[in-house]
Amino acid sequence: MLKLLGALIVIVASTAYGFYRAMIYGKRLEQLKQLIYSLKRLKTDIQFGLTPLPEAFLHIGSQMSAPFGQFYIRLSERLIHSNSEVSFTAIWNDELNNASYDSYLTKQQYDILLQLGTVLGTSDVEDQQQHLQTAIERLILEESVASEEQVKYASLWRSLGALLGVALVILLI
Amino acid sequence: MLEQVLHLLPQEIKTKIELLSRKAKQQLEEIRIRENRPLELIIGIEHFFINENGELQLFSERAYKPSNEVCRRFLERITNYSLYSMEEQLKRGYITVSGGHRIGLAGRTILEKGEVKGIRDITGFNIRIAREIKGTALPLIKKITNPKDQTVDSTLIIAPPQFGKTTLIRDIARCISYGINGPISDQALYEQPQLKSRKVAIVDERSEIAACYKGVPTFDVGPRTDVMDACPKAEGMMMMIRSMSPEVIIVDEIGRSEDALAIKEAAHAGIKVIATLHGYHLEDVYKRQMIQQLIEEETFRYAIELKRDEFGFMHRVINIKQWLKNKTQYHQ
Repeated sequence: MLKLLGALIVIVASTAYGFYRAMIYGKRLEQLKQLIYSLKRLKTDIQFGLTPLPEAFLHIGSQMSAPFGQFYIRLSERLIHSNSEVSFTAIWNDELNNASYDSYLTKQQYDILLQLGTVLGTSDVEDQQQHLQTAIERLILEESVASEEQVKYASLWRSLGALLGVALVILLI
Repeated sequence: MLEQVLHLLPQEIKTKIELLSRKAKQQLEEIRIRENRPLELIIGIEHFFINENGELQLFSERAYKPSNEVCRRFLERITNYSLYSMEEQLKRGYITVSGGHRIGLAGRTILEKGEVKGIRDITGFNIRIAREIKGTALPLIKKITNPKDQTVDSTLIIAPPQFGKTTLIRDIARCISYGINGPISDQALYEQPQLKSRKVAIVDERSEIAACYKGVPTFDVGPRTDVMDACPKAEGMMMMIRSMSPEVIIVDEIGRSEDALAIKEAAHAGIKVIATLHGYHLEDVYKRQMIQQLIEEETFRYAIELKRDEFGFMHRVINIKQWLKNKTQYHQ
């Protein structure tokens, strides 16, 4: 009897793990889509509104969900209340780091954002557009890869989780 | 007023300036930041460098030198982290920050078809600290007031940079707008009001006179004053003549022929004009054709030369008609 309960727990836990791994692909894809949209909005704000970054970040962040919504909002607040001790890039990197705890992006994808943080707000409109466009295009590439991966691996992990659970049970019994 | 500037400065510079004596801070006029070169402060009419301990010194040896990183951080702050949003200002070579303080920029210009499009590699900053001194214009206004019309007469104010031109005309606008009767100062210069409160229009091309922030003047320029902010002088004057029905127009640093035309338009419309001009003496500025014309046509009734030495500011009022008469007599 106890053995049956134990087996059930193992299978459930393993399946849950499988579902978790599958979910990551979905979340990653969703976050990438959100980021791309936010950068497109930033591009528009800069091009047509010449909106300063702190303001633009606040607008964009307030319409996004965690963790990047928070990322933009906190970024905006820190910039507005800055005391000139840290540079923009340092603040950007720090907040990206904070957001990373709740995000599912790969290191490669983060690098795209890190690079953007070194050039935002440092040149004229045309140049900013180019930098943003580059970042957007690179993220779109990542998005299509992530989409493929989701199709390929999500259902795989879901089944894999359950199967692994059963295999473990068989091994242990 | 100094607080707003301090707020924008990088910590390294801010702490040193905060160490200055109260008197020094009150008289601080310019902060000149030059990358990898000694930080310079203009206090009163003297200049000083500053060492690592915040002590003022006259020599530049072993003075504190702001690094490239410090300068970059400062530029980030004054551009609100968005250089792209400052295209107009970069073209003109300065940024006016909240509080009316003007920060001049030096660096490498970017040209487009031979014209300055912007500046890159900005490594020199000249922070000019704006101050509001209510009442500073009273002694002067007394001399240019026409008691019969109860208004001021058109006046040309001549002074080189840093002689308090802007602080002066700011207060002139304020006094005329309130009228010499209301809450201007505790000094009772008149027994009965000789200057009625008038509608004032300020063409504030460099946002220095009223220092408008989001459209509202930072300084007290009077209750009956309209400000055309960041607007080219000649155009601004014409716009205000047409739409704001001013009684007095205040404009800073005229110099081009369009400015003269606009001033004449105003004069023909019966509007009094208080304008400032770069120069030392009436004789010198008279040599400029555009000014010569304005003077000979007696568009201005008075010219005022500002002076300054270690004791303070002074002015000399010249009656134009009288001056022209003397000139012709002299030449005869």
